[in-house]
Amino acid sequence: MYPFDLKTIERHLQELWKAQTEENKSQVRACVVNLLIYDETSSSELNTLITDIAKHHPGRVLLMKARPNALTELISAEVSAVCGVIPGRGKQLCCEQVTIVAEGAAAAWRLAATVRPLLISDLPVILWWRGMPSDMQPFTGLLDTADKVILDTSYLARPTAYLPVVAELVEAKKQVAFADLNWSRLTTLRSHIAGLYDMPDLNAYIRDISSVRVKYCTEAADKELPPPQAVYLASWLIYRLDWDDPKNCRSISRTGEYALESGYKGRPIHLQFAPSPSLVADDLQLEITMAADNKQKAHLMVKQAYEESGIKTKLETPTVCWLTTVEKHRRPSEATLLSRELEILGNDTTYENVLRVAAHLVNQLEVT
Amino acid sequence: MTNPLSQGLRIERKAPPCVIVIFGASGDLNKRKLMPALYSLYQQHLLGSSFATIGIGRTQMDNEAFRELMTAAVREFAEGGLADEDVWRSFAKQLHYIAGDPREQEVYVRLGNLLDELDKKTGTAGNRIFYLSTPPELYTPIVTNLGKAKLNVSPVRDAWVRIIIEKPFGYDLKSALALNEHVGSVFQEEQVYRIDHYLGKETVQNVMVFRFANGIFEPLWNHKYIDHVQITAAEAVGVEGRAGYYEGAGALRDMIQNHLLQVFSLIAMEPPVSLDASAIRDEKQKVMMAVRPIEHGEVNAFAVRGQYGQGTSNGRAVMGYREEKGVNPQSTTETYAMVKLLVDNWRWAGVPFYIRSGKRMPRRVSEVAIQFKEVPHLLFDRTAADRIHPNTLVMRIQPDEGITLRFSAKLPGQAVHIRDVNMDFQYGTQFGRHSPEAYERLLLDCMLGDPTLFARRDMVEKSWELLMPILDVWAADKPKFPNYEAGSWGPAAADEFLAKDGGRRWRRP
Ligand SMILES: NC(=O)c1ccc[n+]([C@@H]2O[C@H](COP(=O)([O-])OP(=O)(O)OC[C@H]3O[C@@H](n4cnc5c(N)ncnc54)[C@H](OP(=O)(O)O)[C@@H]3O)[C@@H](O)[C@H]2O)c1
Repeated sequence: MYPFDLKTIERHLQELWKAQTEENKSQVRACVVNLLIYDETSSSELNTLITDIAKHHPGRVLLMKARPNALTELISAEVSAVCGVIPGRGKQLCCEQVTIVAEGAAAAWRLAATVRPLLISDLPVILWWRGMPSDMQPFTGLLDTADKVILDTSYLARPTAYLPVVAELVEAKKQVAFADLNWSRLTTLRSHIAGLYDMPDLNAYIRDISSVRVKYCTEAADKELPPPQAVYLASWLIYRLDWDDPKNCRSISRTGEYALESGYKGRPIHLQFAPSPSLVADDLQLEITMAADNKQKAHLMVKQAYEESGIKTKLETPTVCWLTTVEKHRRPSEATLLSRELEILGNDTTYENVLRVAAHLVNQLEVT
Repeated sequence: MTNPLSQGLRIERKAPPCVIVIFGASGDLNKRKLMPALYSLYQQHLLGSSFATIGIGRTQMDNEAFRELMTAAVREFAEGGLADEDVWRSFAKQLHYIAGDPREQEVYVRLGNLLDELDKKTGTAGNRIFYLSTPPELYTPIVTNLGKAKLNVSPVRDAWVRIIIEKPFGYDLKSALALNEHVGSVFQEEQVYRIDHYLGKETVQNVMVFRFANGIFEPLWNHKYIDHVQITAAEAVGVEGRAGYYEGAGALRDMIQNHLLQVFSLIAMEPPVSLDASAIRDEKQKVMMAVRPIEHGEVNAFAVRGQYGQGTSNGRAVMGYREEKGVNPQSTTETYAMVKLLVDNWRWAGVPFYIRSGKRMPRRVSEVAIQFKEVPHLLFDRTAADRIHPNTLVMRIQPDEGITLRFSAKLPGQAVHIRDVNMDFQYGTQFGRHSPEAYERLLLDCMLGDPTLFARRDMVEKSWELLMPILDVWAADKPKFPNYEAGSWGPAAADEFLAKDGGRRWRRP
């Protein structure tokens, strides 16, 4: 590490490529993105993670680390190459990484302005914030530079309580696309549920949902609030199926069990959140009852349990009697989730709308 | 009813519940391509849990034996092998097999019963795809039998039935018309998916994006700026044990009539009004209609054929086509064909499209090269040190899918010397991400009911119609074969053809 100096960094970047090319002919250099990473976690897996991501999204990685409590005031930097073998091609794909460490509060504050000249022109800028976003620089400072901001509420101490804050941010910064990896973790489950409603038997009931219960692991709760994924899942159904904003929130038990009322075109829909001791980690269980005046009831249960089996489905409609299926799924890694996010540069309007509903839900739960 | 939940999902293209029935399931295509593609889709969670496969063939096997055969096939041919045994096991549970001759009506009674049972047990919802992966002479009896057994419509309301037909789609115009007629008597055109795996390749799909999502190329995409276009599909291999089929086909039927004319139509078509399948297919058909018909008397002015003799491939001496196993020693089947097409419309007036395909070429490569015109006046003196070529835009279809633009640049130094340089874009490295196999893409498209990348009836018929005079004249004439060495870029006649046609040269791809 050496004290930050733009000219030195640029020279080192050039030398890096010259050296790499001379050493290794089977190397490919490619660049499609500026990836800014702000890391508060100092976790050792970050390097592996960056290599993994760079393989799929080669670009310039600017890794920022802030140590605001350090006694010295210093910004230092270092240039390195991140190389990974392209699957099936035997070639190495290399990208460049500049690591910038800011020590002291004032230096941390200057990080945004420090990295800005290092961005490659014309390529999208993606900010991956590993930590608690706050008003402090560089988060706010980088918001105006970034095309997309990727958060992960699972890094936060009070993730669910924070959703309304994210919602405000998204509302205020319309030109920036936001993502929460905790929402991305639901992609497989959501598409599974959506796929089930493609089946004609179940599709016939899509407007007859009368109650929804979301169960989650007791330990995953955000104090007495359900975890963000449970809130997102319910909010997704509310948004997609055009239900009324939930109201009349009641706390059923001290353990974080809540009941709310929603509705569709005048018909009531009961929503419930319930912690369940039989679920672990990020397991989720969704139970949906469908009832209409002229039809027999139908039930759907979908359980996401990575440690057990993946996604388990139980379905009962008048024509299908307890169809039980198990789909093998692995918990998506952070690298996979991030890689997927890097593929989508525009605003994810579904997420933005779900977040708006989620913020409303959280406000209801909090006042109860 | 629509399903609002499926909107705005990140995994946009998950298949709906369905069963795929593969006729000829013990065959090469199923083992090499279809099963690995289905497994890969399943691995990516693009097939739901309500999905099943039924294989049909005369080979006597039970479900277990079929699963074992498919396990071995996927282990050998899938890109990552059997990457995840657990996932494979859960996929293999839904593999079923019916042993029987697809010409026998009785097979279809068993098939119908199994389909109904799967709908109930697996939730496949009455949606069905029939995949004809058998020798083409079975297409007609299978279609007849499906119709007789009423399997051409689903017993479930709002469910769909589709049929995928492999190439070759007909042997000539007459047989293609007859096959279309027959298929059309049992299935509606929107149920019919004529597969052309070339259209499933990333670069081929990228042709549309490249042309219509970039503002800078389309204004140049016409006779004012383009001198000519070369479309090449070269294979390094010979007939590889498929002599029986190839002897009756030849390069024109095997590659140009289907794959390369599809590619040609994408390159030459006008912008479609939307991305709707019929809008795109209409435009492709329109440009096919604008291709100047080749009269019987002028075949030699539009086409060249060839057959390889002995030569070298991959550093080894290889035999000529006529010496290959299963090939008639006097065979007149062409292993190389080249056709010049002229398009009589405003955009392409006077721009020739040279289309060629051959076996036993120096390497396997498929590409489209757009050769731009020379600058109207060359400012720079040409010295021995200079190499100035007109700009060329190359879209590589395989291997290393990507796009290259060749332009001239000054060599560093005091003097003005000019060199060609390539600006290179490679899919595999820029998007460090793997392109799906063509069959994956196409199978999923069919499940989703998107026929864009499949050949429509009128296009198949038109392409046969265009090539018929060449096929007729070639069939009547005895060529002097072999006329090119294995491991070369084809017959000298093809080089002379271009040289005479405006002093042009074939690219060395
Ligand atoms: N292989 C490829 O890479 C490829 C590429 C493009 C297109 N295609 C086309 O796809 C189709 C299938 O190709 P393939 O290579 O898999 O063909 P294949 O191996 O020759 O035949 C497929 C299966 O059809 C059954 N069959 C063969 N002759 C039969 C007959 N006379 N009566 C009843 N069944 C018969 C056989 O199964 P049973 O003996 O068990 O009945 C055989 O395993 C062909 O139309 C081919 O042109 C193939």
